[in-house]
Amino acid sequence: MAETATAASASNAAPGATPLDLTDHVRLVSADGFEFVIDRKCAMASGTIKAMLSSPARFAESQHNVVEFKDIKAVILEKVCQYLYYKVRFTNSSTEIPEFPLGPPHQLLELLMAADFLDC
Amino acid sequence: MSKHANHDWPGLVNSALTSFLQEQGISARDIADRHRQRQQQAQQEQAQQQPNGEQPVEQENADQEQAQPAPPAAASPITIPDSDDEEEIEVTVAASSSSNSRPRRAAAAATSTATAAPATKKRKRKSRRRGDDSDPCSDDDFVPEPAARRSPGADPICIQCRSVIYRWRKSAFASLCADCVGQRAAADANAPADEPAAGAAPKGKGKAKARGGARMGRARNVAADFALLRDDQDLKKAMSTVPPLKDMCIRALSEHIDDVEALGDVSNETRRKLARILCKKRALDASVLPLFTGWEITNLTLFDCTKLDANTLAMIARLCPNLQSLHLAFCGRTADSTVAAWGEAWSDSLEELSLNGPYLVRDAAWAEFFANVGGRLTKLHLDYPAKLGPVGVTALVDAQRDSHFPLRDLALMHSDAFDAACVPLLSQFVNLDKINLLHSGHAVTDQHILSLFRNLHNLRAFSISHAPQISDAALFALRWRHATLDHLHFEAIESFTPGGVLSWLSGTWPPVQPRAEGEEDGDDEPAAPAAAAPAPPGANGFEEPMDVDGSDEGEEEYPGELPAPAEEEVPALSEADIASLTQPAPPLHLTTLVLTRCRGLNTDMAITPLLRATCGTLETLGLNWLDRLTPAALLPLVEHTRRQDATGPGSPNLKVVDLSWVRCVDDPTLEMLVSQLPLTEVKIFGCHRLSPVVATRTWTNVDGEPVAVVGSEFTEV
Repeated sequence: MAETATAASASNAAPGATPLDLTDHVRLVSADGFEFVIDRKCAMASGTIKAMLSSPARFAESQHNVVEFKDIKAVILEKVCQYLYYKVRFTNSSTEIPEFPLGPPHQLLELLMAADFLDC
Repeated sequence: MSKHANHDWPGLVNSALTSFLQEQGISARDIADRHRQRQQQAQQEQAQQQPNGEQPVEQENADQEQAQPAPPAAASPITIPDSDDEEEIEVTVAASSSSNSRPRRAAAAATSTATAAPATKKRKRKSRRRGDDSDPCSDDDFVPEPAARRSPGADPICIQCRSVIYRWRKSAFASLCADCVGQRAAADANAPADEPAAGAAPKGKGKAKARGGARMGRARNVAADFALLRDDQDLKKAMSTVPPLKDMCIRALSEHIDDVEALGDVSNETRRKLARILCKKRALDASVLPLFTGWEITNLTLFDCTKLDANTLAMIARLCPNLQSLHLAFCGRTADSTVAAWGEAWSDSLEELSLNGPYLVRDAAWAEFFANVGGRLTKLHLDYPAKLGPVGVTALVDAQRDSHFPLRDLALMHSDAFDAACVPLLSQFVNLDKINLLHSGHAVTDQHILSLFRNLHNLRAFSISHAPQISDAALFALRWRHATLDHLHFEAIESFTPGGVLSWLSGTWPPVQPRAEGEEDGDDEPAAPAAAAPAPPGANGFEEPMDVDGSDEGEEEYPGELPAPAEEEVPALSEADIASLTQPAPPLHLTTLVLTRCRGLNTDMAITPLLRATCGTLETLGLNWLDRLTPAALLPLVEHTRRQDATGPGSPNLKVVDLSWVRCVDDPTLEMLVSQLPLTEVKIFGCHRLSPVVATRTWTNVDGEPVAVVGSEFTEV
């Protein structure tokens, strides 16, 4: 996933892009244009994304599997994606849960606000 | 309560003791049955022995008692719950059976009963041991007999999986079935070999000692084991749960609290958002508070101060010495020392204060605080200042007088000590434009209202509730403030009448109660009110409205005709007041009108003219609990939009309507309002006539924008 994040180009994240496989992956687009393609199961660990993708109201995000975050920078969104994988990996796990690296202190505020928005 | 109800009396609810006895299979009938069986068996054996040799009756009786046969493997002697000495119980049973007849006792005494008794005991033990060999459960007291013991609904139940227990184990896990006990044993085996948890049952020799030592009742043992099981499960669950990202961020922020500069430049909006997040998580405490404070901070808003004690709240004064605006919610731990520290620190800066929950602060402390900061206050909102009384309010008035009363916005809500001595002081705040006395109106009278409206020339917003002493005169006095008033909120004012509304709108005094068309003099029940649209027959079949408060039998809650006030009950409006109020007044231009639970206005005769006079400017309308209205009462809201001419009081601006518990609202009524008004929100709690379609369809207003219909979530679909 990290390679995906760093290798992702700042491409135009048009909602009308080729939809991904419904059952596999979801594309998260940051405010500065970076795209993060993550497993759908991990994306569903966020309450907000889950509501967007699985709501019966048929949001545009659920039809194209693309979610844009105009207020979240790529650095923060990357950390959030890492956390989603971390959460799926260690939830209901019998192994010891390692500590999640939050990153430098100056990003904590933005990360907190992003986590609050994404409900994760 | 037991899962299995008492089948003998299905209508009754069992107590905890009854439920326990049922689960254990203990009942008076069973005990009596067992005793009867034993006696029958003894008699049978006696009958079998009789052909072998004659024996004196007494001896036979004694022998019978001595040779009391061992009960069959399935049977068991009488049991007493929570009694751990089985041997004593056996002897008690034998003694009780032998004491049934005195001759038997005498005969027993005559024939060396001292030797017989031990034999009895020994025989009992042997039978128990034999019972143990033959059936592992036979030693148990609670193995139910198919015929006698088990009664419907009295099967023992496993407290963990709620299945019926067929093989009872006499142990600390007697209330668990075999499967659950096995699971627990496996869990204990897998548990790390650390020190046992507090209260855990010791194993091996220690277990025997524990059993023989501090003996607990069976029920207490089971409860303790069950509680222990739950603790283990909760602990394991907590250890296997991934913490939310929010919590980790908050924890990290609190650790870096000393490096506030390292957190970067934070805007006020971000700071406010962060405060809201932390308060939502109940994470705002003394360690996190410095994140929001600083010498440059002039506006501080904390949404939940539950975890901030009095000293921490007082510390805000030192951390924010230049504060101009302070808003604290749930600050119930604010004490006298806290406001004293605030008063000393902010005497030259504080201008706005909003506190929710300072119920501990006493009147004298308020007085001292207002003496220091009251002169600069322009906004004061106190919700639940339980002890603010005349001393504090007087101090505020004195402080304000020196600076020519800069106070503009005053809200004293849920003020229990706001008595009749405090209310007259409010009229001295001559520059007030907002005054809020919700849930503090118990001491407010018509005279006070008249004084307020007479003196507060800039009054724009007035809110009051639960004021039993005000009447139509207060409505009439509103005419003085027609030019400035735009927000009117009355809640639970029961003395207002339709006549008072008409008097207020028309400028006539005294109020005359209106009569519906077709109503003759002397009629008890008024006819249906006149309306522009034809009134629906029988109010659309709407029968007697449901009274959510419940009406007492034989008491007429809504008299058909509102009684005209007697001469002596008319408030003493002076001639000058009447003359002034009857002068033509500017038209009303209310933007907010709330009449929640004003039972006296719960009729079309009151609401229809009021809406007709205010609909042109209304933006927010609240008619909560006016359950006797008909749809015709709401027509003025819509009629105005149908007028083609532009000479009316302005275009409709109604955005928010609260029609909760307005029982007449049905699908056509709601459709009419939503489709013809620029609404953004409609509340319809308690509107039982609405169909399930309301909850599912998409509502759009006259401008094609979505409308939030709140309260339809509870409609059955």
